[in-house]
Amino acid sequence: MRFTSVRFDRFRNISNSSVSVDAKQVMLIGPNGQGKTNFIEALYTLCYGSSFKAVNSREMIRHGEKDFSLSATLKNDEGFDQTIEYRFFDGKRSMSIDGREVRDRKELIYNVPCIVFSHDDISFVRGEPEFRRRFFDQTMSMYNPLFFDDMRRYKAILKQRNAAIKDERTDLIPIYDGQLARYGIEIQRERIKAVYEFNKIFPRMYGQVSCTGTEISIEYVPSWGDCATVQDVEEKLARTLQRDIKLQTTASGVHRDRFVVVDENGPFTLSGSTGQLRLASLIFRMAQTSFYRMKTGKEPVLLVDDVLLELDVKRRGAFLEMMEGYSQAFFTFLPEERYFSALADDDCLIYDVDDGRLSVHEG
Amino acid sequence: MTALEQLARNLSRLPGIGPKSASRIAYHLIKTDNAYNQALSQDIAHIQEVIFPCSICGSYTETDPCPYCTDPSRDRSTLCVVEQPQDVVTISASGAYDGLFHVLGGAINPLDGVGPEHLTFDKLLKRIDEGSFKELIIATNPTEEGDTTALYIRHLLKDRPDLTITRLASGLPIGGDLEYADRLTLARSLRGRIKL
Ligand SMILES: [Zn+2]
Repeated sequence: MRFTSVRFDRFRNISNSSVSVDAKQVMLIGPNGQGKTNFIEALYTLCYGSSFKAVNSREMIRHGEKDFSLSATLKNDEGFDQTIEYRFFDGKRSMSIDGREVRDRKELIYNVPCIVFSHDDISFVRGEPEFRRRFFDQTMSMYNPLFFDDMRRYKAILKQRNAAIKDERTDLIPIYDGQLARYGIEIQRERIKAVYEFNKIFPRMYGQVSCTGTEISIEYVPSWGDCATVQDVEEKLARTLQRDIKLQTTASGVHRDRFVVVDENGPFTLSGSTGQLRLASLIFRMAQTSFYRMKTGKEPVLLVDDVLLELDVKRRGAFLEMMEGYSQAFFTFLPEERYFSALADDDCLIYDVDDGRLSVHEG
Repeated sequence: MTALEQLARNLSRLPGIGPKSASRIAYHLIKTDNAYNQALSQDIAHIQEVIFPCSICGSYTETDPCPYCTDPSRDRSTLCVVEQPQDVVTISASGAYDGLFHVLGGAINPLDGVGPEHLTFDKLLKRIDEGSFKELIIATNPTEEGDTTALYIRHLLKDRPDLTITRLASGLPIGGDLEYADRLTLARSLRGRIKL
């Protein structure tokens, strides 16, 4: 899958225009605040129906406007054209693929697989457990629709159980326990499998880019680690109900699972340097790309926003070498990152981004 | 607030109508044939007098009890439990069901403040006690709330082993023919999730 053009209409600071992106690499060059990240955000929004940085669609409307829309044409792996449109109109968002309305966002996940490397990832290893949980949820959802669906159902039931706890609806809680257990045990099983397979990729990649002997891997610490069956979970939830009532929330479950980066001595956050932790954070995205390819045999679209600056020359080289096997990649660079021209291969488009306007880079 | 704004505001409270659509409809109503406006407002004013829930099963009817409850040709040993009155029409239109109905009035949803006390479970149990039902078909929606509601009914009837309780088998309500949907439907049915 490859984007061939993108059209912007009242989207953030990007001027209303249609931009050709029909190349394997697209580079966006410009100082901060000119619209590079907005461009990346537009592509992501077209892929997944929501932004990776805006909390709601309204934030993406250009100042002083009420609506906005984005659309793109793509060429899929079989060479057929596809049109995706995202509209925020009259306070409501809607999406369509080839003019057919997309009713459920999960249709999108499997349409254009896209992975974003964002500067926000940099504190990923050291950040909240939720960041890594969300990462694995996303990674697994990309190839496993049943996992995505289980997760969605689990979260819905969890909210109901918490509401039932707050309202002291004790007659309903055993019913929610049963539902939670059924989906939770499946999620736990899938996560065990996924981490096992992820660990065939991630440690090797880190070793190659870090150029140190340190070996790191992911350790999965499930909240229901002592449960193997639905019944085990139901019993555990019944046993811990008083605690949950006291805390007014469900304190155990796959929503509390942890994914810890470890080296031979334990948590990497304790022994790794700041630089090593940041590098490991970036490697997560790289491993996600590889993992996706391994699971599906398909190549994703990469959105690489403002992360290469983080790396020194040697590591950047190793990083980029590994960044193979994508169907298309978008990079953002500051003008002073002169090395972008060396990265460009034959099938590359380079744009200067200035105050929301894109023009073909000269020289 | 002008009369126009007032009308638009009221229209925007209708399901699926945003502020812009509401204002478009309001402008349309200004210039449209007045006889149509009169007829429409009459229809809206009287709908709740003419159509009301059946006192036995809860489906919408113009006579009480409703035609389903009074039709002697319907199978009185089977009871189909649904969330909303509209569901009665849908299932009935399928032509594959000729038993009786029971409308719960929704699904258990503590998040939205809907507990069992807001739904017609008491009435349901009374009907089952007093009737001669052999089978209960739970046709709540294939959502988490619909599942919860189905499981709750099974819990309420745990002392009635004589009663066969089934849950409507359902494919996933997905539009389109995307590959993943088929995979998901298949994966889920293979796992046999919908046993009660
Ligand atoms: Zn009736």
